[in-house]
Amino acid sequence: MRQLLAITLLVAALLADAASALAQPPGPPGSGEGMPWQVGAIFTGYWVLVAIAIAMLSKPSKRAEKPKKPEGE
Amino acid sequence: MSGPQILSIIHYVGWGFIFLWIMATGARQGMWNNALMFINWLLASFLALPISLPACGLIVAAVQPSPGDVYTPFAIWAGVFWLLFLVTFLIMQTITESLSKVKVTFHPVAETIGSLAFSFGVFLILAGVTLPLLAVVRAHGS
Repeated sequence: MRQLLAITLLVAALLADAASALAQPPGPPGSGEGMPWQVGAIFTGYWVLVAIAIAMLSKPSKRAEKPKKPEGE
Repeated sequence: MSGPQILSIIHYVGWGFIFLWIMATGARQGMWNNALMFINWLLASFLALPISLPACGLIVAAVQPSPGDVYTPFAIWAGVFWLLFLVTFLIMQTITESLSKVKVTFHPVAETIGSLAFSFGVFLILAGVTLPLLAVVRAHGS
């Protein structure tokens, strides 16, 4: 649940920031001002996929601990 | 501050976030689990990259984006790559979970150092996978 919340926050923050970055009107190429909407869309989509990958990675393994031999054996 | 600069900063913040996340998650898993995770992650990326390039070429040829459009091919490649990467990783994870049902334990020092090292390896792969995106953002800003 906490993982889901954290990932949701990450995605929400990225969406908000990408939207704010795109709010500027596109300037001439190489000017560094604004950018086409596709860059923000790709950026956000890419990071959503990273968040999915992290969620898959965070799934705890079901492997059991190796049982320890009792003392004296 | 321009859009590309903001996105670059968000990208670095994202790296920091995933670094902390992976290291914190890996610290609890132990060296054996992290080693298997690292190998699965590495194999998934090595398999997905060479397959995604020709697959992307085929899809781009079918879609036929306009000559000046550099974003559509990149978006198609990213979609294909991530789909292959995640599916391959899931398959690898399922196979290793069924083959290795017991967590192998090591000396506590080796367990801690190895666990962190393999977790860091997973982070490096994930950060490396996001490098093309950073290149696209920075290329637009320069």
